[in-house]
Amino acid sequence: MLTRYIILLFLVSCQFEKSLEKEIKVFEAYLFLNLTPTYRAKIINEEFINSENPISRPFFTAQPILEFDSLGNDGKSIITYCLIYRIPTSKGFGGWIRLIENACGKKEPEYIANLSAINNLYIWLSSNPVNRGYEKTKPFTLTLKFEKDKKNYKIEIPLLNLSGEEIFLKDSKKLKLSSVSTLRFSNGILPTFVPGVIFFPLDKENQGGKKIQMIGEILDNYASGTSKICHKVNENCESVGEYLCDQCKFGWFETVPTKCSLTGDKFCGIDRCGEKGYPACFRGYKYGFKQTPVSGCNPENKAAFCQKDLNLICDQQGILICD
Amino acid sequence: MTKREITLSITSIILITSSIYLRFYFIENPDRIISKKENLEVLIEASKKIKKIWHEGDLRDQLKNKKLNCVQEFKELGQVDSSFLRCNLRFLECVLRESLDKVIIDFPKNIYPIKQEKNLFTKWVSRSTMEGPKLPNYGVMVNLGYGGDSLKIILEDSCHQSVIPQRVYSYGPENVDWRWDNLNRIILIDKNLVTNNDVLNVNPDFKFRNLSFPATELSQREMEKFCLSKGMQIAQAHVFDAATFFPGDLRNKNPQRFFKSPYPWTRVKMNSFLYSAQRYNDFVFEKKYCNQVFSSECVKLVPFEDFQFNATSWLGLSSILGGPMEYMRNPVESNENLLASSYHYPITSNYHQLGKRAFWDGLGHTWENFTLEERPLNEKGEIGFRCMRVIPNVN
Repeated sequence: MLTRYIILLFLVSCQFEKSLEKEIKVFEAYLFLNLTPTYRAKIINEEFINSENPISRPFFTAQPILEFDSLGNDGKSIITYCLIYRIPTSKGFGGWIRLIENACGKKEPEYIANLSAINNLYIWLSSNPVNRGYEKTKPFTLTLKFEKDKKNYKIEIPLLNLSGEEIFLKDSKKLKLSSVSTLRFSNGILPTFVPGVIFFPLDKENQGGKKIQMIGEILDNYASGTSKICHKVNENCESVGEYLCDQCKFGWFETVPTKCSLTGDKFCGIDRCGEKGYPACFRGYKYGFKQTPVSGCNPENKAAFCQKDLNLICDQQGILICD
Repeated sequence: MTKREITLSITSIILITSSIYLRFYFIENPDRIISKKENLEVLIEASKKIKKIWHEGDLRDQLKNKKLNCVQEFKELGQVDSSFLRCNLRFLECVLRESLDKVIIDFPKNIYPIKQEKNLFTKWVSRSTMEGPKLPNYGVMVNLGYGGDSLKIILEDSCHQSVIPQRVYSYGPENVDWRWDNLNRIILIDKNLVTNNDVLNVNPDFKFRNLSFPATELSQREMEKFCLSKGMQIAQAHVFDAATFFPGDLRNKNPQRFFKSPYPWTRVKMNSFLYSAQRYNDFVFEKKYCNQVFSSECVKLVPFEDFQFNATSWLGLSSILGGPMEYMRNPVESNENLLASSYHYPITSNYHQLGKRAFWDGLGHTWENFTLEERPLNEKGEIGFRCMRVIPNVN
């Protein structure tokens, strides 16, 4: 009787070993299917990413690591995911990594992917290859390296729609710098995993997600007051609210910087800068022989210009316009 | 521990293990999840190949060698520069259709394009035609199938625009030095005049004869609407000047003096045939000049197709002097919105120089709608245009 039990236990343990490999494959597949359409990655805890050492403290706490905005529902909506790691105890017990479909810090629903009993986890994500000892990671690729049952594993997930400026610290209000090349003969395409191609999710017709509302109509214009603002900056050169100009249906234009020298407020719609009733045009920073000061919303601002015979004035929105 | 207890505990272990096994194998169907992932990997690789064809166009001369039959897409496509077929929806449609029964693309086996709207494999999309958080300004959507899964991709049109390098520029004719700069700003401008093919992508209701020719019959408002539909604006005069006047020393971003040559292909204007044509009565016209300026003399001598995508500026802009006139919005001087250099004028015309502009009211194409210094040939004005856009360097 006992021999039969031993044989049965042996078979179960073999099956367990096989299912362990499969468990990792399934975990990897879930990450792959959900995260490949990612276009934005927010780093929740900077010290856990691209580190030379595995994540080891604080023990036995669940730490949100990265938040991903991915395309859902045929590319028309946003689905936010959070990657959470429970750091194991000092003896390597109790570590797991999970992907949940929600923003980090929000109520955690049931996980989409889970891998338990892991430790010595490294997480790499960058727009450039990261060199860590003999390891070199690929750009725009989420790389997880970990130990499970005394074996090392590495999972690589290409984040296909992610560009350099869309990897940033969560809640950062810093203005993002475009990673488009500005050299002669460059074509204005953002460096991504496959530059110039947007990838939709695989078969996600029925999935939900936050719907995107596109902004503006073709006849909207500043002079009639119908242009919608899509990006606002303050005196500290911080974004006020979200950058929405990517959602303008019919293009957008930037006004002359008056609060922050780096950029002005931006509006969706037709650019008729320099014309009567429309915002002034931006002449630049250095067009004279000396550095040209950008000096507020007033007619003396040398960085602004209008068509001949028109004057600069500051309107109620704090925008330099031509009159 | 009694024998009964041992039996019970082993049974419970078996039950727990079986339940885990059942959950993985039957409820979540891990094999299907893994196979979906593998299918997606294959589809991503196929997408790279489609992107290559989209960007390269007919690099392998398959159209010229009649390996591709694209009569359906290009009824009258004669001699045309290969750059016309790069990032060209109709060419890609032809390649995808023909790939169903010929080896056109070295796809992995069993990959196939899926038809979308109007029985076509490609679909022109922009932020004005569909919604989504990560749409390019405009591009072409393709749907690929493999192993029961399908993947939609959008190929961004990156073949026909130039980035204006960040530096100080000078606007206006050669004797005017009105300066501006685009430091910290990324400005892109169309390399070619907008073609009938481009307009048909956005608005299939237009009726055009030659797809590769510039769209020259639109009103100013229609031109504006076309650019806006692609998330762009009508090109501005000072940006056009930046892209066409040869800037001299490219390393010096803020030169003390600008030596502006009125001809885009030389810094020494006196060496140019145009300089002689505009000044000396004994100037003799030669056919070879049509490669640089498509003036009225060229209309009967050489096909316009030879010129249209060539005769480029330092930044790769084509069709600058000659060809149709070119409308651009002028935020500096409202009455100078038309580069009148065109096949409406002989080579001796003073209009054949950079920075020299006239005025078009934008409402019609009869000569009453223009303010011109010289009397043009032909009955009405043919006016092309190009679009531009700005990428925020900080957002």
